[in-house]
Amino acid sequence: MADYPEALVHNHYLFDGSQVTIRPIRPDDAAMEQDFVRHLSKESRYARFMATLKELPPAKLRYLTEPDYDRHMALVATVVRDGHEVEVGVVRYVVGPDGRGCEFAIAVDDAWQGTGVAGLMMFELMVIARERGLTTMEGSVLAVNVKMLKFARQLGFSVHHDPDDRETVRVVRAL
Amino acid sequence: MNREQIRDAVLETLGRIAPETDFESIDDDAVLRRLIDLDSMDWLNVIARLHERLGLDIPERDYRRLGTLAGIIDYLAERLRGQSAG
Repeated sequence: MADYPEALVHNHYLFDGSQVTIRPIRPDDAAMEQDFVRHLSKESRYARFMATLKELPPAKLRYLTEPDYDRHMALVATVVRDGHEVEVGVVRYVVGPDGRGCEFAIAVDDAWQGTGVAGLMMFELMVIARERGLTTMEGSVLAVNVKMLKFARQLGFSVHHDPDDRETVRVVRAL
Repeated sequence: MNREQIRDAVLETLGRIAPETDFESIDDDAVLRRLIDLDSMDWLNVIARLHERLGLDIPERDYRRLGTLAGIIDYLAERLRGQSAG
């Protein structure tokens, strides 16, 4: 199993003064990750997975919570509620076959959208990717997901439409 | 920098992020993110630009003090005073 990158654990404050921890996901976060996915709205789940699912199948859950922290990096944002750590967002990248570019994905609990946590997670993810020598980050976004497309543009991504695919668009930025 | 100059600097910064807003009639005590429909990324951009313009680090733990124009001016005046005193 890959060593846990402890140096990437950071605490942050959001605009309302609440605290979140952004840290690499761990294998023992599987139950927390599954709860997070179950609690997403149908729309948010579809926007993230581009499929209708209510929870993650075991193999997918294992894949998402056991990154190697090298070619696959994932960060969760968590808060403490009633003494328990609760996941409110997750971002990840997976390095492409050329070893220079990566594909990102993001999901944020519906109640935490608009709090600033998504921006903080993406900033951290882009810093890690840059420090590891990656040169581009890309993602697929549903063409109807106007909020996500605005967010991507604000983060410096450019938006590319594929004439053969009207459902999704590619967002790309240099790191 | 006096309060009026700080106010002008903040309004100019906000104006760049939300150019369609009429700042002439702004209520200094209104919650800015609601008043001018700033989302969280717009707001991070406002803070980054104030940081660049005023040369002040604005730590995340202070973000909650920046909800209104009056709050921002009070906060920046306090920090700038502290900077010049230090």
